[in-house]
Amino acid sequence: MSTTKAEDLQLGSYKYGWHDESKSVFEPKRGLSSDVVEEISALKSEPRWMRDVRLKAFKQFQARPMPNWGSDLSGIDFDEIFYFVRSTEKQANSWDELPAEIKNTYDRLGIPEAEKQRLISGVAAQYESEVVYHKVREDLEAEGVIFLDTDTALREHEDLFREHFMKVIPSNDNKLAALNTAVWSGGSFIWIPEGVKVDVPLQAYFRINKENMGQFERTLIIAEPGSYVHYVEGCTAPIYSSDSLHSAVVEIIAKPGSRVRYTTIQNWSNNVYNLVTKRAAAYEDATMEWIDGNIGSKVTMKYPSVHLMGRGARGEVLSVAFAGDGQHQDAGAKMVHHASDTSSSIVSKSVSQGTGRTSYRGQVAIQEGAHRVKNSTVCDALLLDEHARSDTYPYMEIAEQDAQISHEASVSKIGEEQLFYLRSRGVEEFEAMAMIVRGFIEPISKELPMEYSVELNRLISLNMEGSVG
Amino acid sequence: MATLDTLTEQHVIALSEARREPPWLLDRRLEAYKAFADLEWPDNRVEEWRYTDPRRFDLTRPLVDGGRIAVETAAQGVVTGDLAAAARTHEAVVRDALGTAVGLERKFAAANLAAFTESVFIYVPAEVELDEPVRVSVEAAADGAQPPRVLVVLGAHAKATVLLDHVGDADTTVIEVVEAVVREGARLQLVTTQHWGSRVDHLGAHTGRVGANAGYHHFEATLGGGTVYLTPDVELAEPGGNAELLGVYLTDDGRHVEHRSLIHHDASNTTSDSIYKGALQGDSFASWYGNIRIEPHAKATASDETNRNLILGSGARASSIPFLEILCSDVVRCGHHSSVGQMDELQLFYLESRGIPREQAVRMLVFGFFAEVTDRVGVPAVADGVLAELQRAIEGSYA
Repeated sequence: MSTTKAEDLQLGSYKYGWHDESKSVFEPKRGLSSDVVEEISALKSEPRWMRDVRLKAFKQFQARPMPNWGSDLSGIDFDEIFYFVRSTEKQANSWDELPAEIKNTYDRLGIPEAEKQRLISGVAAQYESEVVYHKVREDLEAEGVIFLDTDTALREHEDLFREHFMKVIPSNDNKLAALNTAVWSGGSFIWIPEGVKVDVPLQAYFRINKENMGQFERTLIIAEPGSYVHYVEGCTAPIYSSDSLHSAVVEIIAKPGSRVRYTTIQNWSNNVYNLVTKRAAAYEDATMEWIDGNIGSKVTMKYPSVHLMGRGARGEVLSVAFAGDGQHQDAGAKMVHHASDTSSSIVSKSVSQGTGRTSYRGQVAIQEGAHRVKNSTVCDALLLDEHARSDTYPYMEIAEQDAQISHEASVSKIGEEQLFYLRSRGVEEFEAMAMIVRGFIEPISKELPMEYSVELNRLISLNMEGSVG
Repeated sequence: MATLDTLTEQHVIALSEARREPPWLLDRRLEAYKAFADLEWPDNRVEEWRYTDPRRFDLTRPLVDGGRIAVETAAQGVVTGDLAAAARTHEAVVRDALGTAVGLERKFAAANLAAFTESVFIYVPAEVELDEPVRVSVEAAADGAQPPRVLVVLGAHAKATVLLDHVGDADTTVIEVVEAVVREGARLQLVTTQHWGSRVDHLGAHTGRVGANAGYHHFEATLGGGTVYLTPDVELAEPGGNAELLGVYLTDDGRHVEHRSLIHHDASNTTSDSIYKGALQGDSFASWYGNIRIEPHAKATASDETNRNLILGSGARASSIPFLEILCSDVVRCGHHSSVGQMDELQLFYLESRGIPREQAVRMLVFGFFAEVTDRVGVPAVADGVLAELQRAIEGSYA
């Protein structure tokens, strides 16, 4: 197999790699200082307390060292990044109101079509730093569901916002969470009233267009008691020769008896550092589910977490990672059991191809006083090429005697016999490999809404193109 | 009096001269001293010491000297003695093997090579198969610190069993290094038991370096000690090597036990299998960490590691950290399994409903739990003894 050829083909197969001419209404600057932080706050006409939060977080960002574990982050040059890019003056209510280039982007991504077919209850589209399009189904609005971009939510629902903001992820949680808190812009704010069940997913679509862009969206989801919501996000970016940074913070509060499902299909181009902090607090009898698909990016470090705060709470992470040439997917999950009778499960499936590296990094912690806790973790890895790498780094820390914790992991290469069998049935080698990979990730893809499941399989097939031969 | 934390070059030279060691060994000690002096003392901010604060090992205790390590065997054809003597009588063997399994990357291991006085050398020449085990005992008999060192070398196609026991109950810090160098086609079974009293703190580096098509079987039973931090590592350095790492551990009130094992597949067609089982009682802590690392050139490897913890007492805390680092896709199989749980009330209920008294039911379940490990130890006398000790210790507190 020729590596060069595979690389060429792979780049060619990233279907979202085009970029529009960057037109911004506010002249962006590279680099970060407290002036830039204040300027972002001023441009957004924010209340003073938020400006103070940002400035404090900026100091924390400066004081904190870069993480020296996980992946190699030495390629990030914080001085080269654009921290805030405003691409349109006004958020649009219909796709037609958007500037032509931006509308074109979302047309090519198929988002307006999905909305038309009512496959989604609401949609938010973020382009660079801000949400440019937003729409929520009328009946949900009537029930009191709030689905806004985070900037608007701060303006229109300041008390609700302030009550929950930074309650799950404090600004000083880690260096990148501090950075996000200092320069956050965009993201989704969702509030589901007590007892309301949103039957069809809410969707957000994140797009980086500009080279060296830093996207720092901030998402906050609050599910009041007994409510249900499924939120889906997708991410893409063009291919550039120098790197971009995506560093989001997602906080979720699942109040007693509620259920929140959060699905991500991350398909950034291979020059995006994707360093994301995602954490949920699940209270009594609440259920929090993270479905996390990582296909794109140069480096991803992301460990969706659930803090199980109330008796009977349940946490689940389903994680799929695919790393092709030069990619490192350092993904995983954390389950922190603070309360008794809580349970959690983690299923991780990773596929490494070419020189790709996938790492599962996880933590299951049972705190003192949390009785009868159960956790089960299963990590499976599939290696497609000789130079592919797979790591498993699970930590289990148990401070109570009546916990039941189990962890199983396996690493295997694609079976020669399986391939031979399929080929003897007349299946082409590439399709045979893709079939095996699809079968491998099936326990997770079947959990997705049908069109996302199809999309995930298609993305993986695209990424595998050129890997055989 | 000399202590490990204030070790000086003069002290190292003096102890080497007092033992009439050849110059090459003194050079090795000085090299180790330099590494020791250059390395920082680790603290619990580094990954290796995340669960055990290295300050638990009191290094201000004076180094004790003399008569605390012994070796005996009824077997024919094996060379046993102390390392200083062997450095003269079997220079080539010692020179080629010393420091090749446990290097100077860790501060404590470097200290041991610089300052060991108590030592045992066991050499089984090529083609020699021992029909009797070699017995080594390390004793903590006097208050202080001691850095015992054991070097086992098996020549090509040799076969031996070494039983290493640790006894004593003085206020002692033991900084131990056990190196096993197993040459091509040889087979070593190293069975080590820790019967320390609660005042002994034990930091032990046990590493096997496994040659082509050779076999290394390491079993350890950690039954005593205050703070115990053991690193049973294996270096599969040549094609076709096989390693089996087995262990059982038992904790009770006030004890802190950590096992940290690296199985390094650095050559093709190497295989490894590891299983560690522990029971935790009282207010105690046990941590098990295992890493299987498979290098890019190590093709067609197979490995598996298992850790099971039975928590029997409230207040006991456990952590279990099974790592895999697979840099080569050409693996035959690779996996790990880990669990933390309690004695199964359903199984107890079942046995009791069959008229078996609870005490005996507990004994049966503990027996079953640990027998999976001890059954794989090729020295029945030791395996049965360990199993009986485990059962006795657990019955007392659980039934």
